[in-house]
Amino acid sequence: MKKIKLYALTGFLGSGKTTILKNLLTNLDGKKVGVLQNEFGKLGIDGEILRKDDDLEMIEINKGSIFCSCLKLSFVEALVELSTKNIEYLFVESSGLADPSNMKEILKATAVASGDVYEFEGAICLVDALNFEEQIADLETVERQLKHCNIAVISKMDLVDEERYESLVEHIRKINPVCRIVKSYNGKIDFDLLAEDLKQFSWAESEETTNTKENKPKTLFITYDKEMEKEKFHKFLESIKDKCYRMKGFFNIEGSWNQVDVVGTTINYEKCESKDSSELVIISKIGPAIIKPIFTEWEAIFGEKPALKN
Amino acid sequence: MGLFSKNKKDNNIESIKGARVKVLGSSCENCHATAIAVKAALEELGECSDIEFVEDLAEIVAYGVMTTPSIVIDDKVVSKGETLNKKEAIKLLKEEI
Repeated sequence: MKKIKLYALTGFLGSGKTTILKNLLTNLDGKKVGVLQNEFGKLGIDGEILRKDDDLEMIEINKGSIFCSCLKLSFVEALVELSTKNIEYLFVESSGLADPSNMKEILKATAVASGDVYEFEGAICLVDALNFEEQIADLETVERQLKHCNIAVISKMDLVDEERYESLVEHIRKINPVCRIVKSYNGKIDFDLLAEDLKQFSWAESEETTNTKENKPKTLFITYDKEMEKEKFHKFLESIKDKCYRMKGFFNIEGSWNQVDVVGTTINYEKCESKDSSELVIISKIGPAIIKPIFTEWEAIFGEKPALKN
Repeated sequence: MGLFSKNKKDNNIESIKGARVKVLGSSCENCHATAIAVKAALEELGECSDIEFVEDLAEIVAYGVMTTPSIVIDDKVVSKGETLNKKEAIKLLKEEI
């Protein structure tokens, strides 16, 4: 039996993993593909974006990193389940805060449970050309993602100049001298990469992940059942964005549904299909201390308390 | 850092390789609490209270379990994914030992 080609998609929050994945799935149209999606929040926002294809077998594992001790058994279980679905490719899109250093431990356990069904082709790490330098200074996770990748895909190249690219390559090389480095413009990558032997670009040995229950970043949700005024919403996002690793969600803004993404200093709105309710996921950079500014800013802007949940 | 790290001041349990009773788990509160309850239950029943705490993922999966904490006695899985207190552990051990 032919083994399932397994790829891990890593990279920090907002680096473009889901966009690249959508692009890869388009190229694999007609093939049976599995996606295992992992998000830190309780809401599977990216799952909503992807779940449209009959040939797609999808499992979501939310509320933490799939590499953390509290979820890695669920990760193995999902890999075992997907191995029975007659798929040719499996993409594991890990949370932007996931440290994949122990991927080999997961694969070893999966092989014990379901035999040698997967061929791990490699980890594709998205590097956000705009925000990488700031992110890597903040978190060891970003360094681990790069250290354990086979290809570093520098995303958002359309938004930076060549000088920035060269300094990014220099920085990446200090962390991972072996991985292949490729550029991505407008969320696209060269599909032929999947035909290459990426295993030759392996660098770091497997090690313990830095993801633990104790250092898991605080995730909060705001729900809103009315139509949102764009100016006020934008003002709110601006007021707390420096305290967050990431915000994302779907909002009914002045009568039309938008997917909202906040990465670094950039706030992006993109039209999307209608949803049942407006929801925003907030991943805090400052732990529970973010609750107070959320309440203060929201009340000042909207004149009422936010529907905030843990 | 393992659950049975020497750095843990309270309720530190030594994991004995090859013990008859094994607790399969990760370094989460529920697994830790169950291991402590099983050890206390063994002591109360006057049994050898050595336990092995198995954190190795491949080893856990080899027992056919995908949820922790789980308890293995004489290589037989007797509890899966249940957090036990001392009373519950005593009941289980009485039935299985």
